[in-house]
Amino acid sequence: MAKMKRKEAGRRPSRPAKAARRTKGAAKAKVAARAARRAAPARPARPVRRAQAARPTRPAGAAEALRRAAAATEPAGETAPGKMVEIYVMGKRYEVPEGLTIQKALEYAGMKLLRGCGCRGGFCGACGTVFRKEGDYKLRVALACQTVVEQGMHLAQIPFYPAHKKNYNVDELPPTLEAIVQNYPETMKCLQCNTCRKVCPQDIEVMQYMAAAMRGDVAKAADLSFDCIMCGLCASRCPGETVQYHVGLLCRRLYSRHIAPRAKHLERRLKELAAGKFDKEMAELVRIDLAELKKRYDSRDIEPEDADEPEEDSSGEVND
Amino acid sequence: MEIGYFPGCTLKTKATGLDDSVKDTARVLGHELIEIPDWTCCGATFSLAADNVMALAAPVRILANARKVGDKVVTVCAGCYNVLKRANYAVRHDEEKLKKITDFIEAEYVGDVTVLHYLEFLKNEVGFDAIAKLVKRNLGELKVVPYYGCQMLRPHKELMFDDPEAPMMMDELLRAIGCNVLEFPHKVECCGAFLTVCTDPSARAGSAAGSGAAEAGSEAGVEDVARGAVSECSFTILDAAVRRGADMVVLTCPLCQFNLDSAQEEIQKQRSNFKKIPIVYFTQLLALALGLDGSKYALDAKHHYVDPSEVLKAKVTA
Repeated sequence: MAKMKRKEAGRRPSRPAKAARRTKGAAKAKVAARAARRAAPARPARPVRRAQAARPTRPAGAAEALRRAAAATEPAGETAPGKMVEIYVMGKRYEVPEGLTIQKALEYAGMKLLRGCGCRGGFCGACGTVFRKEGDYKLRVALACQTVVEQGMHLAQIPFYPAHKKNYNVDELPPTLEAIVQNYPETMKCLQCNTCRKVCPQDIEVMQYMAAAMRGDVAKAADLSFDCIMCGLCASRCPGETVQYHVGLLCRRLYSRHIAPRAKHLERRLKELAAGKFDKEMAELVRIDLAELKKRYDSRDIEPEDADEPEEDSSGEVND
Repeated sequence: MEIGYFPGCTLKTKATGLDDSVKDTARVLGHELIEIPDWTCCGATFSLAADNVMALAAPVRILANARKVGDKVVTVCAGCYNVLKRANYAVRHDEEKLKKITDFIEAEYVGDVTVLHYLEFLKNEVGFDAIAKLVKRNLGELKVVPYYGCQMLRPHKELMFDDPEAPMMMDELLRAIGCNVLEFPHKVECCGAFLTVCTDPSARAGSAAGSGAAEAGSEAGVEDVARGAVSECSFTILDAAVRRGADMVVLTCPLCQFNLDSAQEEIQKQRSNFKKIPIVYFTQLLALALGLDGSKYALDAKHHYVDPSEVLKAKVTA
């Protein structure tokens, strides 16, 4: 399993074309426009998260994400000192400063987050939260690290959902409907009620990618589910007991293993690694003491200019 | 003219020859079939529980999406036609149900889309006479029996497709494109339908949890009984067709196609004198008649258990 994950991570550049396009310079304006469009006052935290989530794997996105994640953990509420809001955490009332994220508010209220808290940057999907606003029947969902508390919010954390999950060897599965149905037969119980779409904190067209999966369109399911952060809220509300997020992950794995064109620069790099290109540096890292290692980590260059990526690879054309 | 088209899942997987031949023949006849936006599975079967509103969510959403393209939607899969048309009937005749569903799916729909089978579309929007004038190949040597099955005919009150006991629409089209159409009393018999996918649910739950071979054994038992029933149903239809001297059975339903086609191996094992007969879609013959490239529409051994290519090669002439 661990081996497979590593292989998977190595192939991430060969992702669906749409996602690859998003990372290109030319698409930046589009990303910004999307973020601006989503900057509705009712959902103040969304634009920040969407901007990151739109480009989750490229180094540029990662650097940006780290900056924003750091910003998200800064103490908030300084803009309106003293103003407090009432929230209800699993039914119990707390007063917390206005402007905190749900996650910070929980900590302000004295809770220590052992589970249901991961990256604090809107990536990991650990802090799925169901909430309701005072006087409104509608159940809403959010990532606790990305959503600001509001007066009268009723909150329940869903840090984990015990959804059906299969172990499989993606190398041995064909990218077909059969592979999906063999591993997740409950997929065919989908009634297309669209409840999953309504609870997705990433605004993913969950029902649409399930529809694609149900007709064996692995590439489309992989593409549509690309922004999934595996929070599991879709499965938590599914009347058909399907496990959308695991089906989406299976499709993305099948896509990247069997359908996506191989990233040539990755193959070159793997050959270089095997030939010992970084052996000297690696040996040094193993040799130095912990304090020095921490120092180097803190001062590292996240996007080194001399990343040694060939021209055609950084343009993304190889992957399209 | 552009018109909304609902292909359905099977036409994108097992029945691509049906999908391609529908779109291409429509184009030759001057119509562009536009796939309606964001279509999903229709549900495949229409729920017989009168209060099962949830099962109507998918087909009504599909109809609401079809409305964005126009006031008509064409489909050719008999299963999809059955589900969409009955769902439409259900919400047209029950305002409360319509309101409940549109509230749930958060979409506007007032029942104002007409669901058309491609046969109805060809008859009413194009005209069989007009099609006859465009025929480019001679299919006169080809002796065919049209087979309608159940899903596009019944219940007649809701579908209003054709006479449910003696339908003639496909007969008329096949005649218009020059086929030698034989009278076929078995045209509305059941092919075995969904028995072909019957499995023992307890065995499947067991195998899903990763347990052993005991359940797998009982699953095979149930499947054998179900497949045996499909073989029997299919044999009645196929044997009648062969005895009439037909070269092939022509139909419109992918499930009937699968059952009638795939059962023949098993039938032949049990009845050594049984003669196999190819099963094709009416749109595939229409494509041939209109002069389209026959190699494009899955009329080969790869897509059939009983290969139709040889008899077509021998009997369809320029």
